[in-house]
Amino acid sequence: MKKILFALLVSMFAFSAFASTKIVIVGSTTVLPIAQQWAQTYMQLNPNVNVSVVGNGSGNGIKALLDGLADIADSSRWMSDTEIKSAISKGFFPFPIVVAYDAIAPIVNANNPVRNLSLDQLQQIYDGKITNWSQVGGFDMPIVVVTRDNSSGTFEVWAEKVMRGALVKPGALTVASNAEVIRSVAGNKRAIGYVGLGYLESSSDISEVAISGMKANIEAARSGTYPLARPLFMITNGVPSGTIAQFIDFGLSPVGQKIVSEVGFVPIYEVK
Amino acid sequence: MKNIIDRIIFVSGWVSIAIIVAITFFLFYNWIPLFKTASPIEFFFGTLWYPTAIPPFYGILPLLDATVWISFLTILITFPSAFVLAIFITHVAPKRLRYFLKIFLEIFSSVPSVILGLIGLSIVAPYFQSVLNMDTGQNILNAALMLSLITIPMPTSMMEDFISAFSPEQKEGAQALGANEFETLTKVIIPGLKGPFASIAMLSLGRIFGETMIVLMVAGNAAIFPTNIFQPARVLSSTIAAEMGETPVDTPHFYALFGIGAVLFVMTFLINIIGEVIRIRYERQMMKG
Repeated sequence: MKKILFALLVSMFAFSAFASTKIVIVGSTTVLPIAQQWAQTYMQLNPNVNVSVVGNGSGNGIKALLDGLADIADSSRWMSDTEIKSAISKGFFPFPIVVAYDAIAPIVNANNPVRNLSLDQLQQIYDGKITNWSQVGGFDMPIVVVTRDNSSGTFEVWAEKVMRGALVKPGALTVASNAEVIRSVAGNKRAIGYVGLGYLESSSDISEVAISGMKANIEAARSGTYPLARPLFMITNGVPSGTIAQFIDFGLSPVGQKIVSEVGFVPIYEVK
Repeated sequence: MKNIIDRIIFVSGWVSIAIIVAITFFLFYNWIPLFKTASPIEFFFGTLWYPTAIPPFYGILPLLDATVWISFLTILITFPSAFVLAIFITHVAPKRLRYFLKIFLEIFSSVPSVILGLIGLSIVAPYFQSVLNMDTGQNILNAALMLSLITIPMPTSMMEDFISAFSPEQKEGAQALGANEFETLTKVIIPGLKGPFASIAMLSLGRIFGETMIVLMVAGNAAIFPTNIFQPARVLSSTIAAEMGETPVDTPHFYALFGIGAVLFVMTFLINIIGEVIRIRYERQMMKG
């Protein structure tokens, strides 16, 4: 019995000794597909490095980084004041790196003729001042507002750029992922929602709504002229070095950025 | 050998108790710091749930309200259906069908709730919208229907056990007095099973309360005070599931989610205790009788 225990303990320590060539990435589910594809390709090129990727939310990722449990935190938002304070008090120096851009686009059901709304109209639809499609040039039917859970990064962008301090009306349908927004809007001709640029092509029953004539597109997202775009981060502790730096360099290289566009996000520079 | 096994059982028993105590402690420990930013009155009786707004609101009253709406509508659907099913299995169905039904129920109870959520979202909700012309099919009724489907097998098989195990002396006594099968059922068996049925209702309620995935997917999650069952609603459990992942740790929002967890835990705990107390009291009565 004791021998078995001893062997177990020894093997545990032995495994942790290998961890020096392991990169642990934890965080945002938005950044997850990027991190996963990067990790897969990177491990094929560098078989001696083991990259593990977990997607459990930006908050959890930053917490894992500050607890020393992760080497890289994926985040779809800037760090909160509390997180920065907590990092400094623990002696960490969080180093955020923009790895891609994400653009958000409002969508309606394909049977809804409305294809263009201003930011103010969107705000009033979402805070409950506009309640019928006829008020914005559509059919005479009530507007069903679909929003994201209030701690998702996507919602945060929406709150900041569209709501600008106003509250989303309590009666809005709230769903927990981009895919569910698509499903809700695709199945309801009265609905309006918003999703990441990468999800626009995933259903033929939805239509993108332009914001004051501007559709979400790659150049506008990168240059900042499209109003609903945000950068996606990978955060390291201090300036990355060693294997972590190599991994990030790989991600920012043309190969890594090509992966970014393949999984539906906007690369930080033009790649062929 | 027996000694070792005894010890393992002893240790694992205490470990599981310790874990439950630790979970309780953990929930409350992470809840208390919320009261630095929001008073208990704001938390329990606040009517707005906007944890990320500026300024934030941490009122869980709409969530509590919705939890009550959905749970009671579900139990209203579940309980009579389970009762009818149990009677059907014990008294009406031919023997071979009875066997088949019991197996079917057991399989059905193990269907992952996410699948029922998906059915609710992609079949029931569009049906509600296009055929019944509702504004949204993601509402209390849809959630309660899907929740009932997943809950019904449990009370059915418990009721079925109780009905078929009902004291043969009393059954035979009733028949000796000239009662037919229907009269035996309605005049003797059902009145005699009031106690267990109440406890089954409580246990099903406990199950419904904690169910997260279905409600998260089909209830629409609007934090309002619903006035009818065709409106969306947001319950306690799905709020945690939807928001926890992206919430920065050690913020009031984080503490508030733990508070919801603690409230949910206490409520489920109480419901289960009431269910158990009713059951034990009933069993004692049976022993005396």
